[in-house]
Amino acid sequence: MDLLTFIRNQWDRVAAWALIALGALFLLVGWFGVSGTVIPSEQLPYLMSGGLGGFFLLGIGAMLWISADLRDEWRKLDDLDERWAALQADETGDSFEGRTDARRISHPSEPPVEAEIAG
Amino acid sequence: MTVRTGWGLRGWALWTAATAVVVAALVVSGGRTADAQTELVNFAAIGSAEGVRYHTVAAGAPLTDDVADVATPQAQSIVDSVSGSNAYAAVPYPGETVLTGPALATGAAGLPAAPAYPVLASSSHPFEPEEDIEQPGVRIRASSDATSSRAAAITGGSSAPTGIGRATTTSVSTLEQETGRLRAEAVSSAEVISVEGLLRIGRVEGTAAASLVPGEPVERSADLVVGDVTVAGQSARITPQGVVVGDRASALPVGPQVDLLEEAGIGARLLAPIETEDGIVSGALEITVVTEGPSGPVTQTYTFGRASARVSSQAGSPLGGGVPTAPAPVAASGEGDGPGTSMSDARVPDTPAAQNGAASADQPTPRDTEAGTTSPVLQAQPVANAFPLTDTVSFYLTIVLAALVVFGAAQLVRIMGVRSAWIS
Repeated sequence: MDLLTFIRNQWDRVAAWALIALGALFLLVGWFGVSGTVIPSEQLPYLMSGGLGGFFLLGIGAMLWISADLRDEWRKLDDLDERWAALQADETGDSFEGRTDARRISHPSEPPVEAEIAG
Repeated sequence: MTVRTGWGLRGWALWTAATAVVVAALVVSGGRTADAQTELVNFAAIGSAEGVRYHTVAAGAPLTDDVADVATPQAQSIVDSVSGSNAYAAVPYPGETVLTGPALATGAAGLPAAPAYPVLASSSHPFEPEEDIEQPGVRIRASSDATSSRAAAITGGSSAPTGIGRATTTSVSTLEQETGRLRAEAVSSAEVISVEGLLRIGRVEGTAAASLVPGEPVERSADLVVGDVTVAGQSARITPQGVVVGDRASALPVGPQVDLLEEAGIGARLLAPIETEDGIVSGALEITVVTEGPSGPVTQTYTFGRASARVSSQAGSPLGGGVPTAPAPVAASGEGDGPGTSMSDARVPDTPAAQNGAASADQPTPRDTEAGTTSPVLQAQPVANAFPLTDTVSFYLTIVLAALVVFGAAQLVRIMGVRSAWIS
């Protein structure tokens, strides 16, 4: 997988890392600004931009990272669902072609997924 | 390309180390709060001077007896922990209503913007570092950098029987970052003052200076020099009690010229300097002219040489300070001036002018003390409402710590709540 494909597929994870790095940079620059002067009126812009800005960037980055993990989870579930649908198709002789969205396959009479996988 | 979805031991070790560093920095910063440097958390250095304050009271006048109360030229400089560094000079300062009212009115009415007040120079670091305005008879200038502000105003050119040849006000406020010393100095001077052609004063100069190093008491000094005084051409001097004609060696301190002044309703006296809790207001020369108006006596009071300097440094949060956020005229109130009038800090200069018809404020009088609490004096805005929070550095470290904690908690949610559920 090349870099562009990776970024396209994992955009939320890449954005999370970028925002986390940017937030850390904001906090670092803000620290140098705040500690570089004793005049609070000159410290306040760094406090607001560096401190609070870095805080929110880190927060958004962490949220996106969680979102990326949740997307991984969905991918895994989709993968399992596809495998299960493929097994079902093999057993019944139906064609699996064109049924790429496994989540739309729903048959109440079908056995549980765990049983199929275990089998 | 594989994606590492777990944080791993190294990641947690890094996060723990960063948190520990921030906590340690917070502890160190908290310990430093007791040091002198962090006592600069809530500070102010304010200098202010008025060339002449003109106050008219007309008995029986419509609406109010106080017909006019204006000071010109004015100069004020401020370096404080909230508004930063700013200064203004004006001839005169018209007040916020006059300055902002036209713009608000025209803006609300959708009209073109009103022209700015023409004889006000203001500066504020970093957005407006300097303003210099020169017009016929007027030169005003204000400049500000990160740790100092200066203002100066010069007016002159009156040839009326009652007028001033030239009036100058300057004010400087500075903060020395290396030592934390705050300084405020202001000078008010007027030259060639003439009152009804009878009383002439060559020069009045009032100086006020205050300096403060955190943890040490405020150093104050104030001077007042009144020179070259004549009454109907006769050399005279002015004391806190009034005008004295003749030189100091004369056995007859009061001459017939004083009667001329009294007949013209003219009085003059010196006002004592006023020591405030965090600074000093210089002495001043007060001249009163009483005339008969249509509905009663009209008293015109001219006060020359008023300058004030205030410095303060208090522990507390910069977010809780009560100092003004924009250049503002000094209040004409002496309330809260501290324990009382004192002459002990006034340095009376031994100048040739003082020896030759010049007078210096050397004794407080009951009238001076009363004047110190009721007459218009230069009074800079006090630092108030400081409530005990941490200083800015500690506050910043707290934000960093909170960011790390939130980030760590998010990682825990990510790993325990999302990944562990399906990779275990």
